[in-house]
Amino acid sequence: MKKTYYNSIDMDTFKQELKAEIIRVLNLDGMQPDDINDAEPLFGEGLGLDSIDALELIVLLEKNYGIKLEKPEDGKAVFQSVNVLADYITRNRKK
Amino acid sequence: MKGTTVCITGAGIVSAIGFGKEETLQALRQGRSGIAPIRYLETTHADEFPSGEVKADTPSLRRRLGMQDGNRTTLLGILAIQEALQQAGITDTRTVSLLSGTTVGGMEETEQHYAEALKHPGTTISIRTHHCGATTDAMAAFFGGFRHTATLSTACSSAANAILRAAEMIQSGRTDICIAGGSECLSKFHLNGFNSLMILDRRPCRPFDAGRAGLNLGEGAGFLVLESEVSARRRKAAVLGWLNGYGNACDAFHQTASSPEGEGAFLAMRQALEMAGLTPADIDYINAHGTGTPNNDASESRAVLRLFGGNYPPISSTKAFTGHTTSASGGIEAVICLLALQEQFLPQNLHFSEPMEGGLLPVQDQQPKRPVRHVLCNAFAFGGNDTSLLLSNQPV
Amino acid sequence: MKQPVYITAASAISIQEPLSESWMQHPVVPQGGAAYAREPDYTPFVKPLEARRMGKLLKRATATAQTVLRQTGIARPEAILTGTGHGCVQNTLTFLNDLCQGGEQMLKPTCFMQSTHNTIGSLTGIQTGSHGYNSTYAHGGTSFECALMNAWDLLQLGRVHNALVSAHDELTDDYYPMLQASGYADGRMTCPTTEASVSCMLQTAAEGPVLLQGVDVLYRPAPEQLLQALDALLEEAGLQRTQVDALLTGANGSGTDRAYDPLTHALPQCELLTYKHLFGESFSAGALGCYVAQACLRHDLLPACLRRGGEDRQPAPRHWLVANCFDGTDYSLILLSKCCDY
Repeated sequence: MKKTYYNSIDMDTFKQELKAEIIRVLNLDGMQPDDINDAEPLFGEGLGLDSIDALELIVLLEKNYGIKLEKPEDGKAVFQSVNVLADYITRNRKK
Repeated sequence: MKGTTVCITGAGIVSAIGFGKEETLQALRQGRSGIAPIRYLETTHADEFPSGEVKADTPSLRRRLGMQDGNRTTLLGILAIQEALQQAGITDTRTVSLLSGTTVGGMEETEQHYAEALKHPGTTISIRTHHCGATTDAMAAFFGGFRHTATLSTACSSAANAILRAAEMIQSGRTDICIAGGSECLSKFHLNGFNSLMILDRRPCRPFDAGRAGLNLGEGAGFLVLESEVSARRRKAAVLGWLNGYGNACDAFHQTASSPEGEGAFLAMRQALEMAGLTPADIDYINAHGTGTPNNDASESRAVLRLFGGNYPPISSTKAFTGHTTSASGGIEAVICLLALQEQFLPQNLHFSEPMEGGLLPVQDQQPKRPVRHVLCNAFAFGGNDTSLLLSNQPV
Repeated sequence: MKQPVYITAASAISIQEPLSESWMQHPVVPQGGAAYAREPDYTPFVKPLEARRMGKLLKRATATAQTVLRQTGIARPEAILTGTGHGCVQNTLTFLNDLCQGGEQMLKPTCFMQSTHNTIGSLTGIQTGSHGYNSTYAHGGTSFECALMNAWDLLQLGRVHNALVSAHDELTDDYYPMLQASGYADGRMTCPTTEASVSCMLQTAAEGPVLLQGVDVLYRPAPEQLLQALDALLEEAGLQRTQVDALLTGANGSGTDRAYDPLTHALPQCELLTYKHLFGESFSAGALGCYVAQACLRHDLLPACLRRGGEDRQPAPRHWLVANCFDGTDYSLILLSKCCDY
């Protein structure tokens, strides 16, 4: 079932869930969803994630939302920040 | 090279392009690739990822060797070792050391047993023939014994490090003769592992091409008999080539990615040259690691340009022939280098059409413009375990 | 001309107190079956973000290596040699299980990456920024000894002045039954099946109480070949058989214990010692043998716990032969001596 968020409260809840998932799959021990700023870059200078984390997030997208990225480079645009990622998932999710 | 001179008196090879040196040479000269849809490994990706399988199923490999059992890594290793020992005229291996490189080991068999055991709760699989060392010792047992056996496991540079280590053992006076190389069979485990890293090409791989999109996996084994020159002379063995230098360096950059400047690769090649007392201008051919992944080929190109400048020697990757035979690649490609030295040709880089930006122009014409005397054979790995071997048709 | 090689520091994580030599006075007495290592506090060694891809094996490898590097003041070892029989078992089994249960899709890249054996040694390379020689052995129960031999040769050839040599193997609840089914966790064993992480620093341009005199690894040696190898090691060290006063074997109560008979007969004057009753059996156990001997030489103490009912002996024996036999197939000999100036 495709979910769409019509208001910002739903979207905020979704972002919190998403951050919890990121912490879980990337094994970011000791971090809480609130430690991740929604607008902060996930890679490089922000949270400090790298290419392997990007691959893990690609698996997460496919497993949880049925979104399949064909090339690792495609992740660059999608994983800019939690805001960008949440928006991308909302528009492209298959489940 | 300072210290004991190390020469090569035997070589054996099996890969997607053939059993033995003769078939391998023919395929290389005719430009015939061994990459095809997967036929022998049971996988749902059979038609998705072209691979370089050895063209025989496991039972027929066993029959070839008159064996009842033995996993594919072991069997491929035995075939290559047998050819190498035969050429070197060695029948008694009891004073010889065997160094083999592998990472997959017995995984291809284990993954079948594990899946089977899942269907029968309460059953447990044995891992007796699974771990890397077990495959080496199973190869040793086939030949009746060696003085020393060891298994190098540095992922895709395992066989190259086994060959390098053989030279060290000879130079340190531990042994006169060492058979060294590596063996690796295709497994669902690493096929899916490389897929999870998103570095497998769905088309035949195109090393050094601007449009390259990843690697094709392969399988096989390649071994060299390395020997001190004194021992070879004493045995009146024919010398096929010399290992005049080698270098092992760590990129120390990332667990899977190579550094943009190719630091590990650069250092390994430079060390090999320094050990041989040669300059970049002396190198007549480079057999590149050249996997076909965007990252490796860019990093390796940068390392070659740093060391050799714009006037770099002919360079090619033979992985579009054999596939990336991972741990065995250093052994397989060292044998290919030896063939290039003996037959005076340049193995071509298949499927190249357009150079990458700031990249290299790999070998298209097999005919060398000058004699092939000294060649570098590169093998790089995850974790930045980078090794380069310098083989020659003359001592330095 | 042989270069003197010193073991200038060593540290271990095992079923005994981690990163400590308190086992010499207050050993933990293990039970049989599977016994897991005691974990140290990893916060001084591993940053939280780095820990995200580290299973217990990589954390242990980081802690033992860092301990040795800090003790010796060597920030970047010139060579890093690693031995591991099985590598990161936890990650390997997760990937294998996901593959067999869930099919060939959506598999975790981190688990695959960490399943390659060289991930341990290359992590040390990355952590220390060491571009030097870096290699890994996965040769069953003599992986450490192969790594030690490699380091020894590099030092003797003058290619490096120091080398960090380590061995790491872990146990999991899922792996233990497989070791049992394989005969590696033999029911006759009088010690538990365990896990071990050991790091040690070898140096030529240094001094210290512990001299590494030589190492050899043999494949299925006949008794006379084993003794030839022993004599060659002794000759290189300028020693006679009669001067060896401690023989520390990897005897574990199983059928392979007979492997040590030629050595015990050849060295009848030796104090016969074992270590696996305290540290257990694993593919990295041989590294603990070396670690135990160097600890005794460093502290000049042969503790009662190694003497099976004896008392502390001080000074410790001076020349130690450490012998290990893996599965009746691969044999290792390590010769260590107390440096006479200490």
